[in-house]
Amino acid sequence: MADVEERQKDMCPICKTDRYLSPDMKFLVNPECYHKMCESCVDRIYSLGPAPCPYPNCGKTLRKNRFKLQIFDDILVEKEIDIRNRILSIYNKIQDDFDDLQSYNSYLEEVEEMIFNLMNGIDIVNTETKLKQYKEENLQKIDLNNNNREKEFEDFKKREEFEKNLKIQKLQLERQIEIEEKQLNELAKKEILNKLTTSNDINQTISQVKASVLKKSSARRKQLKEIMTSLQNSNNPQQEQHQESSSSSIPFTPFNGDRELKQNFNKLSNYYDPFIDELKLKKDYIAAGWKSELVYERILNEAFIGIGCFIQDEKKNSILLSS
Amino acid sequence: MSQRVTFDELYRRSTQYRKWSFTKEELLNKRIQINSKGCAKVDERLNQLKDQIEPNSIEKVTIDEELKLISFHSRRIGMLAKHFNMPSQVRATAISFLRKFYLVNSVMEYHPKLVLLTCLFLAAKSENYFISINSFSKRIPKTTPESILSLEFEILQSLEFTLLTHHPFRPLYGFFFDLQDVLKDEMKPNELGKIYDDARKLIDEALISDAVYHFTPPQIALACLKEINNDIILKYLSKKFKPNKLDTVKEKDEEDDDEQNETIKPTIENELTQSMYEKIVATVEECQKFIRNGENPTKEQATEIDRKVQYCLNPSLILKRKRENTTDINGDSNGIKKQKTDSI
Repeated sequence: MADVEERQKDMCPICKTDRYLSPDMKFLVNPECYHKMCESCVDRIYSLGPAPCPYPNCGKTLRKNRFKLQIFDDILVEKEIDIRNRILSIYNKIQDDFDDLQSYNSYLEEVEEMIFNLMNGIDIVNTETKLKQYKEENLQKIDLNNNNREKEFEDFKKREEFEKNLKIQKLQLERQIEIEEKQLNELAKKEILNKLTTSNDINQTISQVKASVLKKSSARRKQLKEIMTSLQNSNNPQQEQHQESSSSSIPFTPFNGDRELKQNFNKLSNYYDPFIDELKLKKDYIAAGWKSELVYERILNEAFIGIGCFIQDEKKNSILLSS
Repeated sequence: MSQRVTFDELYRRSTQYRKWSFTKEELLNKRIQINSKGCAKVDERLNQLKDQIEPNSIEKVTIDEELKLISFHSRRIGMLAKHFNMPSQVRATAISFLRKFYLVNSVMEYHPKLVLLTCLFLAAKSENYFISINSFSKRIPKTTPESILSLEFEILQSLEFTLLTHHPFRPLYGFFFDLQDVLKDEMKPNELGKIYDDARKLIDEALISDAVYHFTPPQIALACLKEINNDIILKYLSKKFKPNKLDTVKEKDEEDDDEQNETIKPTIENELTQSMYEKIVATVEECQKFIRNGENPTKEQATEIDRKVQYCLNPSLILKRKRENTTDINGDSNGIKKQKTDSI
């Protein structure tokens, strides 16, 4: 059974051509009825103009230019993507267009409702008229948003392209440097040997040759550095945004609300304490991020945690309450 | 913005406040209960040996004696911790574990000399000063890793798994710093340093007293300081908590205090900060009394109680004594003494 299904999946239902026999067969579908057929069938039936769908009991008139490649195996998915694309090109508001989250969410819900209706054939007439009405009312806004979206997408593409090119350049340069260095080293060896036959001061000749080699390779290095910096720069704007958003928000606390910010003491920048003064000079402490101010603050804070809890009174009250 | 949690409220959420802080009456009731529970255990043991021993032949341990024995062994923890070169934080936690354990169990159920070793080991673990059980037991004669670990879960269970203990050491340190700020015109830092050092020694005393159950760590720290130098601390507290000072800095401090006490309304602000000052002073003075009256039993007292506990824990020892009695009347006391010194 499964075998038959498997075979049908790879077989054109019109001409019964099998993928087994023609391995580069492609299936096309038309968004009118989503019946699939192979490329050669489409060519054969629709090259002379619009014609009815060859499936029995379908009868929809199809045109060749509307046929497209089937990407998803499940035809329902294919259909939903088409509907979604169509609706979202009209209902294309973004969150910034709304005053609060509530209204944005109800807008999203409305959109999903319409997609669902069209998908499952519920109340199609009403939904279509609603769509049309909305389109007429918001024509300008829709165009504007669509343009924005396209622009953003283009920007994104451009940036991606740019980064890709840079990376390729960098790779090429690195490879080149590697090859050249090898060659230079070999050349240098040869030259040293050559010169050694004529001159007497060994060390001087060797250092001379090495200096000339370094000069040649440093030019390439410079180029590589430039590319690296431009790569980093193109990445940076995103990172900066990230940092801003994370630092502005208040950290999560497991308590009901946040801790009191006002402190019970004036913090001095320095206190008399031989023990901590000694630690201040230790390099391993400083390197690990140890700061005397943090120590002062913690210790001073602990001095006032619970100073106003009067256990005797409070516990007595709680006993009275519970009894 | 949601409401902020004050520092006092923060302390009220700690297990130390919720589970291990009591009024005097509560604490007394608890001890009476534990003692009677321990006595019941002893009776049970006697019942099993009914045909050999008469029921009233064993003297039970009183509440007072229990307390003395625990205090004695708490002090021994201090010595043992010094032997291991442990930080004071570990020592303090071990003492607090031991004392809390005997708020749930009686000395007639578990002998403190065994429990204290496990408490010290557990405290070292929970305070991040890890010593492996093998090297720990190697340095203490007559123990095996198993004998120490066997009690570990028992203790954890009695502590209700609340291992975090707030000690007065850090608040004391904090007051040492704050004193430098508040009394900067009147005191030299090294004079304060001496007061601080003395107060720190006194904290060891406070840890063995019942102050830890009735007062919060900052209050205990203040009490220790006040015990060393009464005038300076009173001056500090009045500067810190008394209203009607013209100094702007102090006014700011008052505002902070108001917030800390939550309930204070602007109109009765002064009156309430006044009462806050008096309350703190009263509490600290009350705490001082506890610290002064800490138990410090002598070794002789402790061995006396220890002998009783030995019989309570193991009534069959009486049979042994009787046997020795019949053979050698003079050897009796010697035999017991030998046992005692072995056990301590």
